Amino acid sequence: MKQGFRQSMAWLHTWGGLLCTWLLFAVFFAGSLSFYREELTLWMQPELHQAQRGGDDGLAAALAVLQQRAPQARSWTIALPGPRDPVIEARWNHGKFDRKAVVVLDPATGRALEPRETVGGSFFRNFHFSLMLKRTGYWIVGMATLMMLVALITGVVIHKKIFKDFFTFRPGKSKPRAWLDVHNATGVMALPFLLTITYSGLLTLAYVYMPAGMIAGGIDSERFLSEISPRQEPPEARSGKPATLTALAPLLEQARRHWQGAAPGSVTIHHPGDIAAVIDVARRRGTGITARIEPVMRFDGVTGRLIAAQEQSAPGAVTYGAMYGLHVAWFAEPFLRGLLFVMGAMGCLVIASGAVVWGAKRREQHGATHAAVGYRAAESLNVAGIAGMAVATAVLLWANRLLPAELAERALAERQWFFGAWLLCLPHALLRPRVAAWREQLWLAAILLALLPFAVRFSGGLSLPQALLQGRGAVAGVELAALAFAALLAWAGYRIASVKPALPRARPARPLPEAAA
Amino acid sequence: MTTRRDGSWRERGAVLSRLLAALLGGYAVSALLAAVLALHLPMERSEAVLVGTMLSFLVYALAVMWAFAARHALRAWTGLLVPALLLAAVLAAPGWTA
Repeated sequence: MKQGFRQSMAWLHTWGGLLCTWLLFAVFFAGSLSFYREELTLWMQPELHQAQRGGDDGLAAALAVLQQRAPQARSWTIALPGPRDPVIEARWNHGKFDRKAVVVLDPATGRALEPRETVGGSFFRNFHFSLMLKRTGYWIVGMATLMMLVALITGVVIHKKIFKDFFTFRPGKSKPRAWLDVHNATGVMALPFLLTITYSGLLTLAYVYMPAGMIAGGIDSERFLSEISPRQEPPEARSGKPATLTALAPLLEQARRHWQGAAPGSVTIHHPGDIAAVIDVARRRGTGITARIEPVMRFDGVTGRLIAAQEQSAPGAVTYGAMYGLHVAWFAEPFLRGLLFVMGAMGCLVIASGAVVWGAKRREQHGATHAAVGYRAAESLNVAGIAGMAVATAVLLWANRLLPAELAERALAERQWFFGAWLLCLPHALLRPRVAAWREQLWLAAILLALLPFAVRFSGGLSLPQALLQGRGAVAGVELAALAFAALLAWAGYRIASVKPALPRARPARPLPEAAA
Repeated sequence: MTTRRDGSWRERGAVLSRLLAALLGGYAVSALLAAVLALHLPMERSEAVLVGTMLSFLVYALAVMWAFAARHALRAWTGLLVPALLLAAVLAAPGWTA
């Protein structure tokens, strides 16, 4: 038997994809949620729900706090409020990073707020590229992402009738066929997004995965990201002569004019209170598509004179910045952000349906009754990896509401609830019959999400009706999304319960590429 | 979990060999390519580094496909090692740095 190129690519697509299915699903799932990182973080901090912009956006109050808390700091950084982030943050730095050296203020009143410690929406972002395993996790996710890229290219190769299949959906046919249609249709529809997000995802951690070029070119790969950003020279040393800081508002205004109306996102003051003080104003991220290369303007901290306006314009750096920017989507306005989220969800569906096709085909070949132990284990992993992920997410959101706000190591406790719930889904999936396992986990997640709007009783913050009435889109959006997903999961659980098992049918197994040699 | 007919140890060994060729050989080719492009592309060094690094991931993906498309495992290895050696030779050649 002569084996063709397409056949060996089909083999690679099937087995390579299967090997990484659960990992890729988790990465896409958490990555999709990360498009709403800031909204989730806000929702998870009910103490900030009432914060509002207004007046000078809390600039004077932030400076007063910094003056009082850290007059001798090496630098102060003020993160200004923006469309997705209603609070102003004042940080100080004594030379090394300190997570606690920050005060969060309500921009309208200048009042200091005390948000609970939480993993926030950043949990999903971090889990998405590190699995909370630091560098080891980067590499695991990196290998899976490479496999995703390979699966996308081989998927196109093995797909002769890519346009015909786009319009093919046969829900009434036997199950593997219908699932294959879902796999193909979603895969083809989301293909541009999937290719972009996969390739750009590899690039965001290029300095970890592929430092060879940087080593050869004499660039410190650990400092790669700051190398490409329009970095300012470090300011001169503190002189020891005190001087009054210039007013910030005119500098922000000047920066805004220079950037043709684009808003500044943060202000860093080096050597505050010294005659050598220097002020860096950085443009708000997400002003254009590019990320990581936001322009910076440097002013004299005492006279307010412009020292330099730095912009990154080298084509390679801009291309990299655009790739990075496409991945993190800081630029996306609400509609586009929603579209990206839907695309991410379709990515999840492509991966999940691929796994289901595999399982259904194996059952078809071998018959449901004498399915091998390996297939059974793979199917259980499907349940725990896909439905279990939804359960764990719902549990995390509930833990955020139920754990006492003052709890020590609170963020850690939230993480433990997430991973604990996820871990418990595996024995459940192994012990229960296949369909029951799917249904029970999907319905559990649906119930937890459907009840989420009531969790406000335990935590304070805005309830869903209040958030809607006051037009707090981020808070209301998270809960409305929870309700929508509850409905979707409940429907999925219902559908899974009503499908009949496919009839066993003999079909030659696909040979290994080696069989032809 | 290989198929019934082809599940011999020889087959499995060949698949494993291809897998190693894909992951290690593919990485060697793409990393060497990134380094060669970083040094020899006719543009500013930092730019060349970025272009080489960005291209290397595409090459890696294609190398993985090659490792499984080649007619047999040995061919998969040679198809990756020969370009890797050529790139290494360019990298090591004296007086060639731009």
